Amino acid sequence: MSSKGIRLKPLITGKEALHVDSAFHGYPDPQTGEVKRVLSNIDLIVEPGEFTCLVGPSGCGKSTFLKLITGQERVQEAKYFDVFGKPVGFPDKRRGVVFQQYTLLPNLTVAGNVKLGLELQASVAELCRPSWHKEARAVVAEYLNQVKLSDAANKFPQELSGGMRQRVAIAQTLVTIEMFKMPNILCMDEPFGALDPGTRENMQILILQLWEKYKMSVFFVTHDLEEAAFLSSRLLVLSQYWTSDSNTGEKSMGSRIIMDLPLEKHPMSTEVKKTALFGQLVQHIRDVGFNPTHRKHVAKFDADLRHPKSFQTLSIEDDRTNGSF
Amino acid sequence: MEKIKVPKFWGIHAQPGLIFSRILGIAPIVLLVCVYLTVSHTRQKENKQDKLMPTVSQMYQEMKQISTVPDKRTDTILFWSDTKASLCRLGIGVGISAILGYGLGIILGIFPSAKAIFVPIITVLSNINPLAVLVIVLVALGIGEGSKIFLIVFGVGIPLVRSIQQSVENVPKELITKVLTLGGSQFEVITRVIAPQVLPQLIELVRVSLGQVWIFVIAAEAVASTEGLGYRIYLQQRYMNMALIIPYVLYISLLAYVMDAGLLLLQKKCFPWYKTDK
Repeated sequence: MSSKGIRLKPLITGKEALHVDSAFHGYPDPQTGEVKRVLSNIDLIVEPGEFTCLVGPSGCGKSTFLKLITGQERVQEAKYFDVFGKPVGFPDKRRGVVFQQYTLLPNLTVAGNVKLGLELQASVAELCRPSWHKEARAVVAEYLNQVKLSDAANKFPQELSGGMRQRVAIAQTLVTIEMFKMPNILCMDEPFGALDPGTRENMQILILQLWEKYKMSVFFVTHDLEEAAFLSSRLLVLSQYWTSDSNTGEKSMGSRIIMDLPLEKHPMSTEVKKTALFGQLVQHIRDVGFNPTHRKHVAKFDADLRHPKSFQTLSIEDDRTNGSF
Repeated sequence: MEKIKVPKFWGIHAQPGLIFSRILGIAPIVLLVCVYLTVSHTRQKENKQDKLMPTVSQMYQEMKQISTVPDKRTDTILFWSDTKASLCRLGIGVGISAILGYGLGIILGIFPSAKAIFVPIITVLSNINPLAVLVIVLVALGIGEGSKIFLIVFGVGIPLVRSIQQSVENVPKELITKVLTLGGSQFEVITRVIAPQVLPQLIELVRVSLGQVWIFVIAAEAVASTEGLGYRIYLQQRYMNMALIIPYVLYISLLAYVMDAGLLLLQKKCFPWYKTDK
């Protein structure tokens, strides 16, 4: 355990991929009408080009946090919740998304889905020109080749396996990244969650290669610790019950980031997973981030925040609830 | 190992096979026709004036009369003018219903404010039985085409709006987010995500509601009309002319079947991606 006490906020330049300061989020309980807190006092700065993985036990609010970033939901309270220097707002082209399900339009073929990104950026005049479509098709073919899906270009998403669909979704985003320099950050919500282990590993390698090649920012949500440790250049653990882990039945006060680790990027080979160091890392995350007895300490801000950009703010409410500050 | 005998007919494990299934399926129909032919034959033998169960040749004569000999008063072939009149009403009514359902349904499904404004009134309207207000419609709109088309739109178009709205709401939100993040506008969300995905469902819903549309057409024609398949049936009812009524009923069924099959074919041809999953 390290870095006791409060970490000060680094200087903000406005170029950060993500700038979150004192964010709170919750849902009203339909029965009591009370707001059930999901996220509590989240502080986070993510630099562009980082491969950030967010892990945590199920139900801790990982996906909710991602939805706040993509703009699918609006944060209830935050000092800052900015993407590239501007407030998050509604979903737009600053952020790309790859979901576990429903990532492709069922009425378009694979090629049509990838071409959609180009069409949505094109002007009406361009769309009327046959030569534009010809060029677009060539570009699409190139990217489908990159994700090894040239054979499936004319198939509909329903005819593809899960892994193939996710590859199409990635190609869809890649096209716009290279052609229009957007999205600036790619948000992925358990994208490989439904895939078999072999396909999953291939997809992990693919996304790492693309990350390296395009220098994109990725925000990746998963519940698989090993996947997170393997992929990320920065690993965040989100965990709930940080105010009270006792058996007195006190309710959860929401989740916060209790681990923030900078990870060295290894050569992109799954061999890494077999090394002792990797095993130790995963074990450490499991011990600190996923172990309830350890999480108790987190209530006193004994979080494992080693990343140079990590910081903590204290809200008045924190002082009140914990009493000890 | 002893080979397990799979029963062909009896029990829950029965596997009738394709050909035997077809035979089983045709048998009741053949039986029904045979019973009718036998009974009508014996009845005709007993009483030459029997009108309740005409023979096939009597039906053929009546149909030949109505479909080849022009009517003296109007100088038209009644069979074709009836068909044309009914199909016109049906087509226009269904067309307006489909456009209304598709357009308004999408708007209500995607714009929360539009939903807040229109859903209560549409809920009220869709709970009114269209046949119960038939008389009101006739009084208000007269006995012309307008009232019949209104009846169809009222009876089928309004439920269609609600069903399409439901379909729009069932489109995964993730897809909308996806298109927005690919740089699409709110308008493009509607044109690229919602509208194309709901279109095959519209065809399916129209197909399902065709049965109801026929009910409304025949009912409206029976109450107030001068031509149409339903009008002819009700007119002939006064003379107990079963020899014409029975073929007309069969003809209406045939038309309904052809339309159903046509829409199904259209759906399969135009939207091969629809429901290919699972």
